[in-house]
Amino acid sequence: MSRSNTLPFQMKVTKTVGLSPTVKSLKLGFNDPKLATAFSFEPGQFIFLSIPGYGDSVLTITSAVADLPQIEVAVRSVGNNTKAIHRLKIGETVFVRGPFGNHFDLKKMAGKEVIIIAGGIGLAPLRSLIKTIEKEPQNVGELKILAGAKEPEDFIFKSDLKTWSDFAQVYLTVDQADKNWTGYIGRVTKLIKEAKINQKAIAVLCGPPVMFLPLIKELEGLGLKDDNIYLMLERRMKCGIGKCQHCTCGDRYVCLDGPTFSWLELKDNWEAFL
Amino acid sequence: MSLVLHHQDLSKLITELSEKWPVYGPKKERNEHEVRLELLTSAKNLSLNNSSSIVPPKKFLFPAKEVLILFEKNKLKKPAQTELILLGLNRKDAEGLFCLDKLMTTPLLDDHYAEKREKVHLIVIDSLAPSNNLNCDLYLQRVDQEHYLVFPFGGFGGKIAKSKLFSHDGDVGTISTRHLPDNVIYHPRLDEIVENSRDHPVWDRLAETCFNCGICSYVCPLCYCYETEDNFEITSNIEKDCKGCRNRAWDSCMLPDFNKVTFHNFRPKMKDRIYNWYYHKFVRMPREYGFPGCNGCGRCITACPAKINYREVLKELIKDEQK
Repeated sequence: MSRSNTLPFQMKVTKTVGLSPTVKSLKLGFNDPKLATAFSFEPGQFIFLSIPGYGDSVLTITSAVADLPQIEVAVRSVGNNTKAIHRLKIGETVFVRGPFGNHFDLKKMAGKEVIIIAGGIGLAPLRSLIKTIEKEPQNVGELKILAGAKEPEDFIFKSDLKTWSDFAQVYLTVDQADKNWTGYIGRVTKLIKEAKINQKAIAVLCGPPVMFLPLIKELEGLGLKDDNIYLMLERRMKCGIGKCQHCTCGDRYVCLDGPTFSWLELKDNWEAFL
Repeated sequence: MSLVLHHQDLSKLITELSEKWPVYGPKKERNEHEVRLELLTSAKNLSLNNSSSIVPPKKFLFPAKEVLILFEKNKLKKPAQTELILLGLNRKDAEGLFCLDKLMTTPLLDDHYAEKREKVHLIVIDSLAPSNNLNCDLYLQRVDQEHYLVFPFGGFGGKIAKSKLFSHDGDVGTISTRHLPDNVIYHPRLDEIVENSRDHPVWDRLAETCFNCGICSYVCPLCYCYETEDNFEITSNIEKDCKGCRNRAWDSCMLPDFNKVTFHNFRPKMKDRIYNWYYHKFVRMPREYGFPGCNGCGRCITACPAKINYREVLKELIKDEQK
């Protein structure tokens, strides 16, 4: 596997799916068959995806390890890089470095109730974990997925959310409902009461920075332990190996120590949610 | 019997080496106070005497801007690196490079830096004896007006030391041990003091004077944060015939956008960015690597347009901690 932190390897777009008005999912296959067999990752790890001339985008793998030798990523169109990624067609080449970062502790989740809490595109990095649990749902206790979006059409992985309710409890909320909406209305925090969370549960959170503290307060109120609450942080990394300094966050590097941290690790961190 | 180089032969050594490799060293050419690391063909204008260049020698390994990858359509390749000699660095600057080597190659390897580093050979010249914290090929210790004691290291150093300009001279053995004032601020708990100083008024005060220009990072031999950016040639169909390169360039954690993501800035306040600069150098780096991110060269003090002196800042933190 290419361990170079500067020279990427080639992958080919094998499928693209529009997930929401601004988010697209890409399925990528390896050009090099040797790399296809050698490549491995753990749920929660991220890659750098680039189109020459545009630069790198940091994306967490959204597929499960069992889906190898293909990987999937979800991209929200916000800048030049991501707009170019959205224009990619099947068969086109992209360049990838990785995987980097830590991963979810699946062993720790064994037998426990697992709560996935996602705001907006925050569901993307958690999908790899959900899909891993989906393969063997008996490995964890109960799986509860709490997801929020601005409007119903902004939910990503809409068809997945339907399938996931076969093995998980799925709670959805929107800030602004339309006439067809039958789910909850309001912040994700509201869902916590609905989900009847066990105090021994393990919660994994991903979403905009403003979402974290109110959620943590709720979860702590239910008696969840600080080291059972996990958060995924986002930073604009350039290297993935602790050099470029763009992802330093208090005493941590998001690229090396993260992107997933326990609340216990971040409690005293003065830069995690600034 | 020690291996010796006579001072009068230093120029010949440079000429001899420059026939095979480009040789760069500290030169005082344009004016009396400006030392720059430039191409040498002799010892003319060579500035030794511990004067430090405006930009530190890191520019040969981690330049202000460099090409990381070249691309043409869908083919990528690494640019070729030139072999060169860096001659006349003083021990402090060479020790700075030793630390930079550690920063860039451990615990994880920056492969681009490593490729470059292999091609850069160091010849250190100082009146101090060689220390353990050097990755140099040849060390020339100026023991008196006339002589340098020669210490070759590794294969490349050994090869250079075979030059006829070096001789075995039994008379040179007395080493002058000139003591340099150590400019590194030392305190056994400096990391804790800086770590606990987040609420100290000094950061607010500095935020009022600092221009956030980032010059302290650019001239620092141990600052290594960077930014990458793709450049391409304009063609009729950029998406199809894209030809260009990915550059990496110096960045600075002092700059306002350093911690910006698409919809958020994680370090919007100047005060926090200044604290982070000190935190990285005096807390994170000592804990991560065992040495501070400062070797006391003083370049940041000379270059700062706001006349901020980090030594005064650290002294103030230490003093107030003892209250």
